[in-house]
Amino acid sequence: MAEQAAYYGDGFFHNNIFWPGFHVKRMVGLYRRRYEHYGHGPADQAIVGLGGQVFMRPNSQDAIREFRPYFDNAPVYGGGPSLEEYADTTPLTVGSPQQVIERTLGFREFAGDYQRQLFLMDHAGLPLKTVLEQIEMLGEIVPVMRREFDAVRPAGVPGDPPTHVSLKAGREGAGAPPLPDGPPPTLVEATR
Amino acid sequence: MTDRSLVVVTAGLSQPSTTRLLGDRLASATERALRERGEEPRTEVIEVRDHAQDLVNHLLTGFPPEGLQKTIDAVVGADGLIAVTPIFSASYSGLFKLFFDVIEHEALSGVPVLIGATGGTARHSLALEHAVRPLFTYLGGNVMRTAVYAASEDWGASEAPADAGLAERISRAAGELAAAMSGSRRAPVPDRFEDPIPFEELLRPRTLEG
Repeated sequence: MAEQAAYYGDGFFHNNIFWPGFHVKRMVGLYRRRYEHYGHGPADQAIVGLGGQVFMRPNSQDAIREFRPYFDNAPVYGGGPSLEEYADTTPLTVGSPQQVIERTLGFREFAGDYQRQLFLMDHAGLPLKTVLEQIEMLGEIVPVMRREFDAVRPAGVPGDPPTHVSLKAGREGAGAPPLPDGPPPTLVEATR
Repeated sequence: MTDRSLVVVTAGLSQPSTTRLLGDRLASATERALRERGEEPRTEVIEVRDHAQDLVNHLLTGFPPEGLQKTIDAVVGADGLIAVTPIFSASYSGLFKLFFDVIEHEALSGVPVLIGATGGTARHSLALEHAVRPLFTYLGGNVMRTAVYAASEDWGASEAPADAGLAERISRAAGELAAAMSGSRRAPVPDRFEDPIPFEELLRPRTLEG
């Protein structure tokens, strides 16, 4: 899939969650190298997105205590390594909002400077009320993460990845026939 | 002298185990046979039991813990492999199979493999032929003609006729493995992350000629 995205010059989204950094690194690395090979631009300017999974409480110990029974019974996680081992080797972050910010900012260490970050918030059978609380908390730290990512991103690396709207405008501006409208902006796009 | 890496994978449970003992005897006989051919063996022994938890975790998570990855790399990069298992319920042990379940399908392509097994009675010896041999054939290994089974009665004073039989089989199997190891160099396995199949090639329609 990385090779296919590179061939067409499309962006590449890697799931990231459930995988250790060394694997994501070689997948994103392959995509970036091949993006440049196919002449779409320099490797560091390819558009990369990553997944993440977080569970937050103001006090990290509360987050771990509350999330553990869901983790232990989740279809992907249950029965294998412990919550702590999984959180250590994969992007799963269970802790305080500050820990989520720091962990997420660390993804660029193995994926390079990237443009899109998606979070899995409703996994493992969390109740709707809890999921909504989590989304609220995420909404509070997304602007911080945006600022931090903007501050460390080198000049020349795109900061705002293409959206349906921008691609549509670009195509129609170039004289192509009009395209239908895309889906409404997501919550995270709406906070920009 | 050429260096040859010889890896022993042994799935015995007790310490010491007769499975390990068989693995060690096969390894030293192979080392001797390699040296006679002017090759220098580098032997590594992998006790599957030491990786039991990591193997279960690998199977459940889909990726190996760090220590296990090094072990897998040693096996798939070996010039020759000795694989020994106790026979449980007419086949290899579950722990033994677990180890080879996390080895990628073609990773053992062309690797010379010597298979061995232990059990309480010689009546189980054909498990090597109906269970262990097809496993390594599936994995692409070049499985040696002589497989070595050791029952309880085979272990004893070295002058006993039964043990002489085991020694003779070990020596024959080791000779076959050493010959296969020194015969040819394996083609390096391509790293698909470093050297991906170009997308044009994936798009090309498949024909009977490939």
